[in-house]
Amino acid sequence: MVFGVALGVAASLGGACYSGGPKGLPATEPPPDASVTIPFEPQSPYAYVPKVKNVLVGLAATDAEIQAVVADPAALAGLIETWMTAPETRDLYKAKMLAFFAKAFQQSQISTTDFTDQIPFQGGLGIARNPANRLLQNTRESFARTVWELVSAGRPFSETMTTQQYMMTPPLMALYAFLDSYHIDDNLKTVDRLVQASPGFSFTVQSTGNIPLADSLNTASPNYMHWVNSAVGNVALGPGCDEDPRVYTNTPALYNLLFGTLYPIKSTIAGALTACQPGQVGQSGLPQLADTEFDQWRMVTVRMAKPGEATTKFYDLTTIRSTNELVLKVPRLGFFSTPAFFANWPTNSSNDARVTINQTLIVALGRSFDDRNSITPVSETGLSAEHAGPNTVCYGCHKTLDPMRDFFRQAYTIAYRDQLDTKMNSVQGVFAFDGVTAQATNGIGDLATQLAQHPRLATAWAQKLCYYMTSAACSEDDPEFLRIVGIFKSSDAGAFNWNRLVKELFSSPLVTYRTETKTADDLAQAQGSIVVAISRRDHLCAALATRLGLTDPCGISGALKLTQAQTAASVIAGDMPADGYSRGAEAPVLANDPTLFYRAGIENLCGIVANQVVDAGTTTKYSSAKPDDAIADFVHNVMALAQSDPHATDAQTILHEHYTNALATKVSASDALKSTFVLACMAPSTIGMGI
Amino acid sequence: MTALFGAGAVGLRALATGLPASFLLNPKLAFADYTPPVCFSKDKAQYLILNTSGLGDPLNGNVPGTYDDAGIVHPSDPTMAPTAMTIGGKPTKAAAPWATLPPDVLARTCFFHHATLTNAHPNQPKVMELMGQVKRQEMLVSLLAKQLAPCLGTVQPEPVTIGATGPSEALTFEGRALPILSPTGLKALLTSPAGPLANLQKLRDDDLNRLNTLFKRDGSTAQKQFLDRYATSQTQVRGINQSLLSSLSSITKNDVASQITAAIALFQMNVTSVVAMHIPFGGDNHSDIGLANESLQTVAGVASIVQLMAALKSAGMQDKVTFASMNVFGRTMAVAHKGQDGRDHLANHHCTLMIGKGIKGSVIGGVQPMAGDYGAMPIDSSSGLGNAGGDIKFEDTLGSVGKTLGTAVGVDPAVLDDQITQGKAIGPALA
Repeated sequence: MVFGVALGVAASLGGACYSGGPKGLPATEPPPDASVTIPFEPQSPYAYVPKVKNVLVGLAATDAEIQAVVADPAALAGLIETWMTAPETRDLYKAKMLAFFAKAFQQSQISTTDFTDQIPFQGGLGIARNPANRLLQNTRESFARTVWELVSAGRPFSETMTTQQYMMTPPLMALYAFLDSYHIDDNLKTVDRLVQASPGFSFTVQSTGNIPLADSLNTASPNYMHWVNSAVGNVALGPGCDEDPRVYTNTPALYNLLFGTLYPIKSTIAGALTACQPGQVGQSGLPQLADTEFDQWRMVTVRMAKPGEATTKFYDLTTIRSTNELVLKVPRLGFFSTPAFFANWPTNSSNDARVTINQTLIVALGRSFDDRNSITPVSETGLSAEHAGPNTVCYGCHKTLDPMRDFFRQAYTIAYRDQLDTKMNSVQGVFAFDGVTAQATNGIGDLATQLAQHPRLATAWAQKLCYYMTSAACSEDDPEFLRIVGIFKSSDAGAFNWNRLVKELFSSPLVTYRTETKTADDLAQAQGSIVVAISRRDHLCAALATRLGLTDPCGISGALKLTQAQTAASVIAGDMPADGYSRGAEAPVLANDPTLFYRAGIENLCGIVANQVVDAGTTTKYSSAKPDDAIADFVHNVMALAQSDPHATDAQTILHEHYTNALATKVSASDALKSTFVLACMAPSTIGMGI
Repeated sequence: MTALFGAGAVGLRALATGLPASFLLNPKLAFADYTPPVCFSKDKAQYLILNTSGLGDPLNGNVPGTYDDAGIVHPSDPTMAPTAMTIGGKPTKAAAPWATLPPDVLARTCFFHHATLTNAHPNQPKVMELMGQVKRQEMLVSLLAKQLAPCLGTVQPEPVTIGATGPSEALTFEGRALPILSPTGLKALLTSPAGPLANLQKLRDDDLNRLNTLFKRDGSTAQKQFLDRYATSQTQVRGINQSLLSSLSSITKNDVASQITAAIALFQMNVTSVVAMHIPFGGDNHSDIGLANESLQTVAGVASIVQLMAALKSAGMQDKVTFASMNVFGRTMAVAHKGQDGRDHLANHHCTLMIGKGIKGSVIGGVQPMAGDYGAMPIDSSSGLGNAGGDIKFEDTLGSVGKTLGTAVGVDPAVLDDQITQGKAIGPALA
């Protein structure tokens, strides 16, 4: 049989076959790891208590905490609850969860250019670099903050699938509203709805004067739609762009103005996106949206506009600053319709939202489309003709994939705007995944409901936490795993109580390896042993920050201005292995090994940090005048070795001898202590999770 | 000392951990009659630069071998005009940029028509594993890197990724995910800042070894393995010649030129035998009106290859480094499919480009109508020509690429035949 003829993949799929591999090829041997099995070795509380506390809040475990678990392993659950709720650690737990949620909900691996499909001008978020970076960070954080708010309010975690409330900042609200008013259809034809509703729309920008925002927005004011930006009239913008005042006739320019940017089109050419002088684009005068507003988060309800109802205007900052509601035409619900998720997973006329539904299922249910999904959908009307042949390799996926992508196609254009095509509107999606099938009657809302009610939801999120804690999967047929999933689904703390899941799982032998579990046995069978992984970027940088009292020592917070040290650290940290997600992959991408690059990078990063904590001015954390105190803290705080840890005394001796021997080379006491700090900072217990 | 304890002080570590040295060298294979790679031929061993794209760039659409069928669409942009050229003494035709490859480069350039057997982006890692045709789910480049390491004496056996556009383009080695690096980050990672802390580095290394030993004292097997890998990484770092890091000093961006600079520097420092990078050739161009972006990036992409070859020559490495380009899939070519409005994914055809001392100027295989578009033809291994009755069947063409590339970079053909389950090395592609 010639593969290409009988089984060759149809040409126009647009990348939608998520088959585990080609049919007809020989089965390969298992990966190399499978050939060795190391008998189970229970982990000591001195290894797993610091690991759990590090992952949860970034701090080192105290001696009392470890002794409590040594005396009674069940004490760990109580400690976890304390770390999650105590005033001194609650914000640390929040920070960890925000980082976890941003990645687990696939909102974070984006840059400004990934928004090009949603905002097809100026190559990204449509505004100049600095505010764009702040807005980008807002988009990345928004849903993670939303989840935190829901969880903190005691809402079931399953509401993350259906929520129509989002944590937003005023700039982010303006972005949502702008996306709503600048429609892009399936043929990429744009309609500026404000201009459409108000023929002859224009606004004027002048370089000087003082026009209150209220006047700019007041239709009765002579200054209605008049704005001030000091860069207007700049001759460097070139002829046709340097008038003062300048009249614009399109809303992208007004959107830019909010962020202080003059949109680089010639004001004399209505509707045409003709560039001014290249290189003259950028932030110019004071923005209407202040930098502090990027930090002003609040829960905002996004509501669909009723027929004939006006939507929230993106430039109406008075309303945006005061309202807790956005009225929009683009459906926004759950995690899968945020600008960040859409930026992560752009689609096109060939892909036809297949990537969107597939990534949605990976996030929500931890499963990708493949031919394991043997369910027969209640309807195959959405199945594309080229994939409909039951004898093709594609059919196994597409028989359920295509009807399910219609949830998105019915609601959204390929640029993720509200779908106005009546033909597309009439096609309801069919949910058919992992044992559940249902015909939609309520569009995208039904997808959210099906995800929230799906039996795999609890399993998927318990599994994501397994990866987060151990860098490996838990066995989903492990009785202990099933016990925890059962608790997550329903417990005395309520259904889908997130913090209860964290507490149960992080105190479980599934992740502590205190006692043997099927998961540990399966890991040993699959790859030789449990995983001892490096502290990847997020955990490492969080630990350095919390243990040393530093703000963003790795320069990865997305802050607008970084110190020189943060800038240097950010280059190194940028290449440190980080938790990641990949298109079509059910499991996170986790680099666990201490490669030579990690070893080299950690030394340089620790060197940068050393300068910030040793003899660093009047508020220095460590002083070479008190080396003994410093070294003791290096051992117990930086290396996370409690006083009773069997390695602590010897480690302190090694650090002391290092300090003494360094001094003997005639370096200063300060440099000797910095070198000792670097040694502690890259010690195995600092950089290894579970040492 | 080294003779007593072996490279990386494996013997010393064996004493410390109580584990056999073979286990420490590769703990997960030790019990499977694992034989460490031995050098097949130092003379033939080549470093390898792999250009790869999980986007599935349309490189396959404009190469030699795609201009004989009028049904195949090409950009109408003048910069991509069909241009006559000679490869391996045979006249052919390709988009104009390919004709800009210098004659000495063309003389060692192979355009290999085959299929990657998938049309899905997420299968990029599987294509790197030749869609299951490499044993133990190893990636081809990792198999090659492991085999080349003893010949070239590289600091590490693993390949290095410096241009991946995302986690899907990350590499794995023996099932382990490798880090994604950037040219700018590489410089920051590897360069030891001068000053007192650098002067104390040896002392710190020794004391870090003491800490490793301390933790190994009562560690579990998994902990000991981690500590051994950490100790090995320190040995590897110190094996890098810092004086050669100056070649990274010109890097300020992460563009293709910087990736080229970084790749050559990694070879000069002998860090690895394989570096993966990303040269855009049009990207995921479903909607590319007039194939304008494809034209733009193909012109730039070929120029980058020319730049790479010049840089290798300037570094005196033109006979030591092989370049290959393999993506997750090719893209549709039928005029009837989309005309010039873009290209979709194509599982049945892709073109791997190979340039190097071990490669002969050639066009291997061919294309034929298939499943509504085009697909790779079976190949006659003796002539290298596409032939419906060829002994290399359609589904084995991907394995043949792996064996041909492996042979070209100096890996033992017996190892390739053992480790790659399908296909044959194509003699006419090999110098």
